[in-house]
Amino acid sequence: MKRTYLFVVVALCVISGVAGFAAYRYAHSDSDKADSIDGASALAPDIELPDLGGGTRKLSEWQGKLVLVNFWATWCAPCRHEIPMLREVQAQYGARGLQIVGPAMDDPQAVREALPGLGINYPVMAGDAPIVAAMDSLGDTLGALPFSVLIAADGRIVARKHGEFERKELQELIERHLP
Amino acid sequence: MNRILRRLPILLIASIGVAPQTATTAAWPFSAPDAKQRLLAVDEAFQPRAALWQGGHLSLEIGIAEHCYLYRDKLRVEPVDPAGYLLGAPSLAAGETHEDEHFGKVAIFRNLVKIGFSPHAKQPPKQLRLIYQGCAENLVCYPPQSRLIDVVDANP
Repeated sequence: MKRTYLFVVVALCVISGVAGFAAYRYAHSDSDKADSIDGASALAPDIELPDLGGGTRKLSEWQGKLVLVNFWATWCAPCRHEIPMLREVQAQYGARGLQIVGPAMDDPQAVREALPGLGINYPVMAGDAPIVAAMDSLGDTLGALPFSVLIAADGRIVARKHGEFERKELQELIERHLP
Repeated sequence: MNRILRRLPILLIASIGVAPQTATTAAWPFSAPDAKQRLLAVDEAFQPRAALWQGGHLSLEIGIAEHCYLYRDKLRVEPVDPAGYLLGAPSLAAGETHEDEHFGKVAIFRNLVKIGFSPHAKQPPKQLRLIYQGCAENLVCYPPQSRLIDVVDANP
């Protein structure tokens, strides 16, 4: 009798352990998809980005705000998929100090043509080598898009991510780092 | 023995709590529906191999990592040495049709793509430029890539 009881309890321990393990992995499989680094403390360099009018914009222009630099391209489907959410996040948090900036690794003309359809409500830049250099200096290691870097109001890089943000993940990051 | 048995239910409850903590560090041996897809650097995602000249035929291959794909219409091969070498029309499979949310139906390649040429010239070119572009499924896309490929003459 005691042996049966022991066997049942041990079996239940094993089953519940495996079930808990599996449930956790399943629930967190999405958030594992991309490398999000939080707590990075390096100061962001004051990069220069070519704008669509032939001039340049400097990152220091938005000093004092929480800046999300979202590198994208018109040929990048996951980037385009992420833009409507970024637009909404800019509208939601803009008044509280968030500024999204969208440098495109792309032909400026292609970006100009795509902009009306995308309805982007934050500054957009475009270019080739200067955008690649900006990605490198902000810590890109893959050369893949989308690539986002969150820079706190004091200029520290607080998060980097390749791939699309989940809305909840981005909102939590923003809430945590708003000035 | 009775004391141990009385404490076993506590062990059962504790095992439920410990499981998620174990799960954060342990490797998952099975494939969940959205199993982690490791982000790859572009040269891990797409691996061009040497171009081979054999019996008047030139062939190139690009290995494609799991979960990654190359766009058919972005593939290009250009002669570099000699620059004016006439490659002729490429022979390239039709590829797989991929429904893209933003770009509609596009032809793509997975696993491996082979590109062949049958130039009129009797001698192979020395070097080619291979241009390609692709994505990691639902994760990231890579900008157009350009690589110089030496041609290996299999029948020197």
